[in-house]
Amino acid sequence: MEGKINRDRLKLLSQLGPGVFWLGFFFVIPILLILTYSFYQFSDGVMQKALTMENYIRAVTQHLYFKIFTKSLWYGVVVTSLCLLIGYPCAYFLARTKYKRKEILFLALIVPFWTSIVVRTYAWKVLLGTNGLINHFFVELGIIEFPIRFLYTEKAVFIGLIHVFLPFMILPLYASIEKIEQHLEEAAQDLGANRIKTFLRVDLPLSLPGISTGCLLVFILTVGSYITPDLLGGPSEIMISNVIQKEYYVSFNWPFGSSLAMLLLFIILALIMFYNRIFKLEKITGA
Amino acid sequence: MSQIDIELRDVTKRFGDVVAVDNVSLNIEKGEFFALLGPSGCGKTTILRMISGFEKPTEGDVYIAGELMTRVPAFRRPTNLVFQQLSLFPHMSVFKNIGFGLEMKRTPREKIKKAVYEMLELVELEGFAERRIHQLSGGQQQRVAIARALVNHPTVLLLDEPLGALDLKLRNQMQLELKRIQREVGTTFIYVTHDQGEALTMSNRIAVMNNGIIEQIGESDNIYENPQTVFVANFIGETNLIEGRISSLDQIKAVITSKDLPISVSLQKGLNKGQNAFISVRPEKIRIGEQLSGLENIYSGIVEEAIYHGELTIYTISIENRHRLTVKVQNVDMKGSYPQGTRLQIGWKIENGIVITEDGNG
Repeated sequence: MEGKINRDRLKLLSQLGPGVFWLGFFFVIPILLILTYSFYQFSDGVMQKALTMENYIRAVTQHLYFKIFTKSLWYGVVVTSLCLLIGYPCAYFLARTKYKRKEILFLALIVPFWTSIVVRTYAWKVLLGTNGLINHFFVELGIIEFPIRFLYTEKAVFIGLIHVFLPFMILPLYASIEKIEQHLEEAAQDLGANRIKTFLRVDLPLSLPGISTGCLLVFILTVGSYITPDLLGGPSEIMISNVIQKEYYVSFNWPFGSSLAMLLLFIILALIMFYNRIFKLEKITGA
Repeated sequence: MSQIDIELRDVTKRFGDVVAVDNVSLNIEKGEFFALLGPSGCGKTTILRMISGFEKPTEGDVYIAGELMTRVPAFRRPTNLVFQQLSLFPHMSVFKNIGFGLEMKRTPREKIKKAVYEMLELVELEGFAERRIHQLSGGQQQRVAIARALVNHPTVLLLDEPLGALDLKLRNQMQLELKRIQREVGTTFIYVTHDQGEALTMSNRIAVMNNGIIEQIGESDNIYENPQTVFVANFIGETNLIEGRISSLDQIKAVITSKDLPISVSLQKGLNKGQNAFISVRPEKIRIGEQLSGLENIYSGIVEEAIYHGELTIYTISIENRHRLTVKVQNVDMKGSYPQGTRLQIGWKIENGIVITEDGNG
């Protein structure tokens, strides 16, 4: 008996060990470090190991940071909604198409992952510039008289973020739409539901797990995004991650940067818990 | 004349090069329990899907209650389908599932409630309204599927092998249940199945299909007793098929000679001397040993195999060293059992040999 229990423990340890080690070393310890830094003082351009709340007080009381936080969350909401609107038809098409070479369509979806986000974002810079390809085209075609200013505006940031995060919406959506048996749609139609009603009463509720996962992924990624607003947004369109980065690498104010990072983490955690209440995530991931 | 509920006029359905349904015409009367019977891939499900509106005929027209359905989409047709996979909505309760059709018709809530509870009573699922679909057994899900379709009072209820997934005992029980429900509501049922036993026990009329065409339509007993094609004779029940040539005809009977063995059959219209023909003799219609006097066809044979099945024994008997026949004998008493190798006389009545001519007209 004794030996068996020990063996079971050893087995459990060997299975859990690597994962726990990984999480502990690369996630828990760094977070704890940042949490500690966020309570340190910053004076004379260096971090002092004296505990203080002033970083948090500054982050919460200064209007600028509040504005950037809400803006980041707002971007998250907008980009997530647009990704859902664009992604759902794509995912539905992918799941239902009778096209024989489905893998090519998937390749088209996944290939962008093989290219660095920086490169892809620079590509948008070329496309969206005032003398860029898109404006050039529109002017040549006579659709517009003068080039539209995309670059360094909200529009450019939205376009760039949607482009980068759309696959994270489409893939979970595809997975859950594909699982909906097509004869359920036929059953709804047989019972008198037209296409719209069939969608609203059958497809939509049954793809809720995909919608919920996709939205969560895109929202978190968007709120924490850094490169896209940096390259396409310019100084007026910075998001919270850009501010944190500047605190660390421009002002070298690690304590304040850390407190902003911790605040971001807690806001997102709180939102996820709220979201969880609505969508019952554990049910979705469990099923 | 009774009212026609479903009419198929020269309906053909092609999928690419494959002809699934080949120029089928069909009338189904109001209140009938009609079975479409055939092996898988014979086109029976395609016919059902054309009636329900999920497939469009390549040629020909479908009429329901006298109205042309060609341009009517599935969701507006007065039909309801019980799917092979049942297709109950997994995210809804039993109540919501059954009420779905009425909800789509914007029926007031009170009426829906009343209708759903009536249906639950009809299919004997009182008290299950708030259950989730996955909490039900196979047989219960079956009942919900039927209730969900029937609650809409369709002109025709279409059933696509709905009992396929059930085990034998439950299946037999549900067959009787379906029969009862059909009697109670009086709706026209079209029942697709590949199980000939199911078709025979449940339906008033059967259409036997093969390779996209209807081989024979008729009342259940008629299909069994008078198969008009070789396919029907083989597909419905078991039979002995003997191929031969019509050697003589007189006022009352025809004689078909097969491997020099003359076999008498009742005279039918359309038989010509020299014509090729099959004779179908059902195994239970062949008598063995005693009481053979007065039978037109008597042959001597030898028992090649005797398999005891409890209530009956199935013999394989070689007659005159030319034909091997299957014979089913009821074990009324054990005296009449014949072991392998027994020489005996067998025979059958003239009218029990059904003639099937090459072109399929009996």
